[in-house]
Parts: sequence; C-alpha cells; structure tokens
Amino acid sequence: MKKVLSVLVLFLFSVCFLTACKKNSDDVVKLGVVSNLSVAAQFYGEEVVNGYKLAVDEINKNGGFEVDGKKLKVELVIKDDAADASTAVTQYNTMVDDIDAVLGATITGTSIALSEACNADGMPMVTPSGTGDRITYDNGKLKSTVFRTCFIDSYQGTILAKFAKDKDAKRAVLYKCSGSDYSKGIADAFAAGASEYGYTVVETLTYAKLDDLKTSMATFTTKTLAALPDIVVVPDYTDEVRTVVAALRTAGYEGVICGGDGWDGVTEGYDHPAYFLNTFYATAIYPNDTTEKVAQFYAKYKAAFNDSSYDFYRNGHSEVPSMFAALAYDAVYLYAEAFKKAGTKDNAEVVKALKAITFDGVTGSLTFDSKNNPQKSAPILTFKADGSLEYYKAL
Amino acid sequence: MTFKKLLMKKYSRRVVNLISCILLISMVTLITPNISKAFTTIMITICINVLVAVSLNISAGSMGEVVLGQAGFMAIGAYSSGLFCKYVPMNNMFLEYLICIVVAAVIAGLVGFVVGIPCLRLRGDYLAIVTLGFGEAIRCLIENLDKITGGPSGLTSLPRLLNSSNRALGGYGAVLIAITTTVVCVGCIYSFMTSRYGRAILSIREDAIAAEAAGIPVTRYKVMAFTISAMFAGIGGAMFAHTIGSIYPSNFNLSKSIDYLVMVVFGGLGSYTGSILSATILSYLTIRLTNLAAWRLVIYSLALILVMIFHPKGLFGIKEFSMTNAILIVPGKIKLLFTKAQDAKNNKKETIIETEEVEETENNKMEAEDEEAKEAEALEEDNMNNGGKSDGK
Amino acid sequence: MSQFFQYLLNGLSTGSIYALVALGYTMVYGIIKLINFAHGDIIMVGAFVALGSTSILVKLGLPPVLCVIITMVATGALGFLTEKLAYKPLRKAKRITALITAIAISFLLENLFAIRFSSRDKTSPTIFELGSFKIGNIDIQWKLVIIISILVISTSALTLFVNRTRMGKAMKAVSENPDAASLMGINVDTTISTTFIIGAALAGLASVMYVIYYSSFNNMLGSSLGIKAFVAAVLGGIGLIPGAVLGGLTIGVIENMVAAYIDPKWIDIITFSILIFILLVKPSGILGKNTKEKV
Repeated sequence: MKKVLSVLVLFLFSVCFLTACKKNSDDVVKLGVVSNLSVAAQFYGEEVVNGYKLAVDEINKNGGFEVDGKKLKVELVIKDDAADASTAVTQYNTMVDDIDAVLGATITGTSIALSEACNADGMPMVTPSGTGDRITYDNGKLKSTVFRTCFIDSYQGTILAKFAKDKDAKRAVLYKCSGSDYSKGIADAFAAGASEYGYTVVETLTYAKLDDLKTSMATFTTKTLAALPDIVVVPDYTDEVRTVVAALRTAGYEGVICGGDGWDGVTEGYDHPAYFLNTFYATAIYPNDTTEKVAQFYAKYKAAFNDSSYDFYRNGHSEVPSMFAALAYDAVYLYAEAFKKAGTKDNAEVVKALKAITFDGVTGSLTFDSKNNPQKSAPILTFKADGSLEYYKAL
Repeated sequence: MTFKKLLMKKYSRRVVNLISCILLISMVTLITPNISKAFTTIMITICINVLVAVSLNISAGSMGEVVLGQAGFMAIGAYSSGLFCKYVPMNNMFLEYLICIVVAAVIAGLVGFVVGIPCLRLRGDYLAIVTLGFGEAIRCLIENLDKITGGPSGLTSLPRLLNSSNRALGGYGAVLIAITTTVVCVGCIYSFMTSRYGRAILSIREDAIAAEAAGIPVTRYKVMAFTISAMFAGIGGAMFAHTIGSIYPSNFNLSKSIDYLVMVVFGGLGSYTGSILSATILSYLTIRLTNLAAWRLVIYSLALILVMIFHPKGLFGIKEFSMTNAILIVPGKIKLLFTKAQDAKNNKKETIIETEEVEETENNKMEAEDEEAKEAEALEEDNMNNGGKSDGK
Repeated sequence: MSQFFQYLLNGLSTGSIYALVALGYTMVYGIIKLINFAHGDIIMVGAFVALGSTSILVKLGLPPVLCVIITMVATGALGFLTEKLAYKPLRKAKRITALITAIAISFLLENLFAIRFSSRDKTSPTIFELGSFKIGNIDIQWKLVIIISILVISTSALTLFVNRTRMGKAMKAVSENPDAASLMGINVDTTISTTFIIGAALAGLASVMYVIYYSSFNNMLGSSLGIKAFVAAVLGGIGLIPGAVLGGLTIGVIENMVAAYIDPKWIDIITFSILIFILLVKPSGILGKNTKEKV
C-alpha cells in the first residue's frame, strides 16, 4: 500500500520539474490563439491563423499595439484544439496565465466551450468565425467578455429566408446536421422564417455527422427529388456541401441550392465546379470586391502566403483565402483599437473598450449590440461555371 | 551488517518507504504555491487518467480480459454527474462534488453490473468485441437521446470545481482535491486487489478452470471485478466533467478506450504502479505534444508497435515498483551490465588461460550479485503474496 | 413501391462493399485468430491509390479500369508487409499484444495519410460516374449493378479457390491446426502470407467500389467502414466466407432501410445492438457452428 502511495507522490514530484513556473512579461502583448490546425476543417483553422499572423506582422512593423502611449510588440501564442471542445479548453488553461486576450476559436463547437472558460475567467475573447448564437449568449445569460467579428447563425438563417423569398421559392427542402451547433442554428432560423417569407419546408433531412450523411445520401437524394423543391438549403461545411450538391446534381436536380458561410472555399480544387452553377451562399465579404481596402488585403495575403494552387498530392492552400482570413485580420485590428482605447492590458478595461467600440475593417464597419454581436450586412455570392465567385446581391 | 542486508529486513523497508513518502509530500507542498495554471491543468488531467487507467487494470490486467469499452463507463459517470448538477443545483461546491462522485460511481457501477452479467460469459476475442460494442452503443445512445443529454452539442455550463480558474478554491485547491480523490480511489483499488477477493480474481486470470475446480465462483468474481472497474471509471468521468465544465459524447469514443488500454499495456498488464506511471507519462506527452497532432500519433503508434514486438510485458510486467527494490536490484543489474561489457573488452586483450581465470572470478562475483538480486526479488514476491503484511522475519 | 426497391438496391450495394471488406476480416481471423483492426485502413490506402492511379492512367491515355489491378496489387503488398513486419513476430504472443499492434498499425496508417493529404475529403473523379438505366419506371444506377456483380464474382472465385486448389486446402488446414499442417508438409508461413495478400487484395477491390459508390472520402474512411464490416463478419459467422457475404448484405440493407424509414441517427446504435445481440445469443454468428469449450 505504501509502495503505491509513494509512487503516486513520486509522479507528482517528477512532473513538477518538467513544467516551468509562472512568468510575467510586461512589455509584450500576448494574444492566445486557439484554432483547429488538425483533424476536421483544418484549412479554415490554418487560414484564420494566417489572417492573425498577417495582421500581427503588419502591426509589429509599425511598432506594435499602442497601449497607454507606449508601443508594445504583439506575440501570438498558438495552440491547436484539434476541433475538439475539451482540448480547446485544456489548451486555453495551459496558457491562461501568460496571455492578455484570446483569439479564437475557429468553429462554433469549440468556440462555445472556450467562451464559457474565458467568460468565467474574465478573459476577453474575440472569435473571427464562430457564428453560433450560443457563443455570446446562452440560456438567457450574456457572456460579457466574448465578442466576434462575424455575423451569427440566426442572422444567416434569416438572410437565407430572405433569399428564398427573393427567388420566389414556395417549397423548400432543408438539410440539417444535428451534430453541429452551426448547422442547427442556421437551419432552425431558416425554418422559423417560413411563414414570414412565404415558403414551406416540405422535408427536413437530418444527419448526425458527415459519415452518416454519406451513408444516407442515396436515400436523401430520392427523398429530395420526390419532394419537388424550389430551393434546397444546405447549411453546413464544404465537405458536407460537396456530398449533397454532387449527389443532387448527378441525380438530375437543376434547381437552386444555397447555404451559409460554411460554403466558403467549396469550389477550391474541386473537380466538378459545374455542379455549383445556380447555387448561392451568404458570406461576410466578396473577395473580388474592387474597393481598395479589400483588394489590398487580398494582395497582401497572396504575397505573404503564396502557395501554389490546390492539387491532389499536396495539402494545397488556395490563393484566394476564405473570408475567415479577412475576419481574423479584422479581429487583431479590433484588439489594437480596444487596447488603445483602454490604455492598459487589464482584462476588465479591454472588455469595456470592446463593448463601446466603433471599428472599421476589411469586412466592413461594426459595432456590438447588446448580445456582443456585430451588426453587419451579408452579400450573397454565386458561382460561374469554372467555380470562380460572382456577386449576386446584398440582402 | 551491510547497508544492503539492512535494507532487506522487512521493518527497514517500511521505514524507507515512509521516509520517501514524507520527503516527497513535503517537496510537493513546498512547490505547489508557485505552480502555474498550466501545470495544474496538466496535473488534474493526469490524475483523471491515472484513475481510469488503474480501473481498467482491474479488468484488463488482474482479470486478464481485453476490455475495449472503458470510455463508455467514463461517459456514464460524466453524464450522470453532469445531469445531476444540472437538475439539482446546490450552493456548496464541495458537497456537490462529493455527491456527484457518489452518484457517478453508483450509476456506472450499476451499468457495469448489468453489462457484465451477460458479457462475462464470453472469453477472449469475443469479450473484447462485445465490450467494444457496448462502449460505442453507450456513446451512440447518449448522442441520440439529445433531449436529455444535449446530444452531440454536449452538456455545457457544468460547475467546474476541478478547474484551476476556480476562484473559490485559490490557485491550487483544485489540484489538491483532484489528487486526494485519485489517491483515495487508487488506495481503495489496491487494497481490494491485495485482499483475498483480489487474489481470487488473479487466480481466474491464471487458470479459470482450475479456479472453478478449487471452489471459487468464477462468474461472481468476474462480475465483481468488472463492476468495480466500471465504478472507478465512472468516478474518473465525473472528475472529467468537473474539470472542463462541458462534456460531449465525442470525448468518450473508441479512441479514448484504446488510449486507456494502451496506458495499461505500456505499464504492464496487472501492475498498478506500472499503470500509474505509464498513465502519467503518456498523458503528459499528449498534452505537451498536441501541437504536433498527427505526427504525435504516428510516433505514438510506431513506439507502440515496437514495444509490443520487443517488450510486450510493458514497463513492469506483473510486478510492482518499490523504492527498496529499486535500491537493491537496480545497482546490481547495472553492475552486471558493466561487467559483461568489460568482459567483452578484456577478452580481446588477454590470453585464453588468463581469460578463463578472470572469467571465473568475474563469474563468482556475478553469481554473488545475482544471488543478492534474486533474494531481493524473492522477498518482493513474498511481499506481494502476503499483501504487504510482515511476519517479522 | 419503386422507392422501396430503390432503397433495397442501395442497401445491397452498400452491403456488397461491406461484404468484400468482411471477407478480408474473416479470412485473417480464420487463419490466425487475429482481429485485424488495420484492415479498414488498408481500404483507405486503396482508395487513395485508386484515385491517384486513375489520374495517372488518364494522363497516359490508358483505360482507367486498370486502376483496379493497380489498387489490388498495392493493397495486397501492404497486407503482405504488415503481416511480415508486425504480425509474424507476434504469432506466439498473447492475444492482447497482437490486438494492440493491429490497433497501432491502424492509427499509424490513418495519421500518416492525415499528414500527407490532410483530413479534407477527396472527391472521386468524373470517370467513375457511370449513369443509370431504366427498368419500368425505376431508375437503376449502373454502379449499383456493377458492385453487386463484382461481389458475386469474387465470392464464387474465392470459394472455388479455397475448395479446389492446393493453396486453398492448405489455408483450411492451417486454420484448423497449424502444427499438424506443418507436420504434413505445408509451409505455414507461406500459407498465412497468401491469406493476408488475398484478403488485402479483396480490400483493394472494395476500395475501388467505395470510390465509385461514394463521391468522396478522407483518411478516416477506414475506421467507420472497418467497424461496420467487422460487425458484418461477426454477424454472418466469423471465419466463414458465406457468413461474411450474408453479414455484409444484411448490415447494408438494414442501414439503408433505417435511414429511409426511421432516422439516420439510429443507424450506429442499431448496428452495435446487432453486434451485442449476436455475441450474446450466438457468438459463432448466423452460419456458424456452436463449439463448446471442453474441460
């Protein structure tokens, strides 16, 4: 018995020496980054981190964040959460003593868990791409230290509802991933808009995850076609979207298919871009927008992360980054503004500054409403036959 | 009397162990106020993994069956405690934690019992597969019953008693609670497994038919071991829920079960100290190397394959680690290694006759060392068999 | 009614893929009593090879059908390698050691491919879109017909091989009693290697079928497919060839029916419940014989 206890205490002791103790550095602003750099949706995670890096490099070239008259260099502490909520929180916990603010997470699922941890600690958090409503406002409670630069899922759902009306759709088939807060958020909002915008959801096809979708896709295709829809809504990420669009198009469905910002990048390196004719999606920014700010951002991104275009035998990065890179870039500049206004690195002051901020970025200007969500517009984009983007409307 | 002979006396072993305990505890107490949050997070995770690995060692190690569903019991413990916290809000966090632990243990134990009775009629591969089936079925059930359990979106906003940011406990209160829970549980498990019930379970592993012939009700003990294993895995799950504050069914998938099985096998199937050490090392590596993600798993799998092929017994085989044995055996074995290496060198220089003489004296020395080492090992076996009780020999 | 037939056809196709994979599991288990967890990942490798070789073949102007042969050769080689390097040294070891090694190989393959190709889905090339034809007013896709026919052909070929050829009989002998077989002059090592190669080659065939049937896949293809095919093998009777086919088709049909008439989210749990049920009621599977342990 004593042997076991002494070994137990032994492990404590040895592990002690393997980790450094607390340290504090006052002359640097450390931003903790939590993003999914492996496993699922890692291309989003990487682009977001690229956006952060681009902004931080630029800011450091000009001296750094301006805090209380002094210029402090900015450092990024990057942790991979492997698209898992518990890992995100654990990684955050390992750096929480060192950092001054959090950038992340990238997808809704991890962002919700992270937001609870940050809010409990009073740590300011800005997510560039977490669109789930629950990230800032859950169960009637506001998480006051959590903000975002993107729009929220219920807003996206309403935009798609408006779009359905714009296309005079009466019968809609809705796909819903019950395993993803993101998908559920948009799908539910779309379904709720049925009476107001003049359509009925004749069929809702639910699946728990991508594997289930693939298994059931044959059945779903039959059901979709049998429902004779005017519009098919697929609010999910690119892998799921490609599965659905490919199946529906090969089965002969020529009608409108649409979705939310998770569609971003869906035709990059895809073999059958022609499937995406007559499909539409809502997003935060139109990359071919000729306004100077936007054009400059894309030029800078290309110059900094110039990988050759996607091809089969490489983890290709596309030349045209998704809108998340732009939102991430804006998130860093948002912090720059906030730290300047607050005049200190103190968490509570930064949060106060964020709440009252008016910010003008690449993705447009924003202020935060009572639920810490930005008020922004959403352009709807569509595709040309070769897969390149085309502007449709702003709704 | 040489120091070594002194050490071999039973009473001095206890003294040495006691002294090392006290030394380590005092060092830890001195260091703890200065540790950072990063470290406390890692330590709490280690505590949880140690507990679940030790619980798995009961069924996989001492009972000798491959169990691939331990994460399922962890999930039951985590969700029971989570649902309890959601529907019965309490003000006193300590009390809530204690009740959660008990609730998790009871429910997980119950499920273990219910699952164990039909499953333990199977042996070997079939048992492995059916436990895999149950582990995954539990996870799928949790996912599908989303009205109750929140489904794939998980249960969030749970009280995070074991989280280092918990202001109510100060910086390291959470760690101490976690360590206390783990130590108490592991202590219970160890004393159970060295009692006569534990020895009965060991005998089932060695030869179930002989055990049955000797009058041990095999099924009863197998179900007992399985239930207790499930119980403590449930406690581990409750601790997990209290650390992160949100639990998802994807936390408890087949990969998790396999992670724990690997920890137990690495440490040596049947060795509790082995499980503790390997759980510590592997959890630590997992957290530290997360940034390597896919590469980490590649290295991990390669290492696993190599260990399985070349040293399948794991770190400690079925024996336990002990301070006094470390002092007695290890220097002897190291000397053996050195003398063998020296032999190789000497053989090249000297003549055959001289070599033979040298070899003889060397061999005598080696034999003496060997004997000492064997004595110590025999004493160790004795100790194990007597369950740590001394008879003053 | 035509919808029901459509669902049934889908089920039989999915089932055929599971059956081909289950054959691999069953053969390996039959001969060395090892559950080869890495089998599903051999399919994943096969899918990548199929994709890569198709694009090369198209560039060279050769008929893409050759990708089937290339894939089968590649997966056969992979099966042979894993057996020689990892399973052979463990033939005398405990079951749990071999099991864990198999799991480790599975992890290794999954993550090596994750590093090289990221976990993003890869799409099947246009070549594999084969269109459909009509019987009455039911739309039948060519790919379904092809997959089911391939299953029939390979099963018959395999059964003939096992029952009529020397190597086949050697395989049966080794699975009964390896020591006696070696006493009779059978080279146990070669027999086991051949079994692995055949099982893996069938997996290669299954992977091409997979790429044709589903429009995309990623590096985690092996884990989900592997478990389902494994359940299929156990359901039908592990160690038996007709068992694998029966189990595979059953699971495929059940899956599609559940997706169509109930709700896709119950598929996984129904699959595992079937597994648990069959193991508790009749562990030797539907077609298996009950062997009691003698004292």
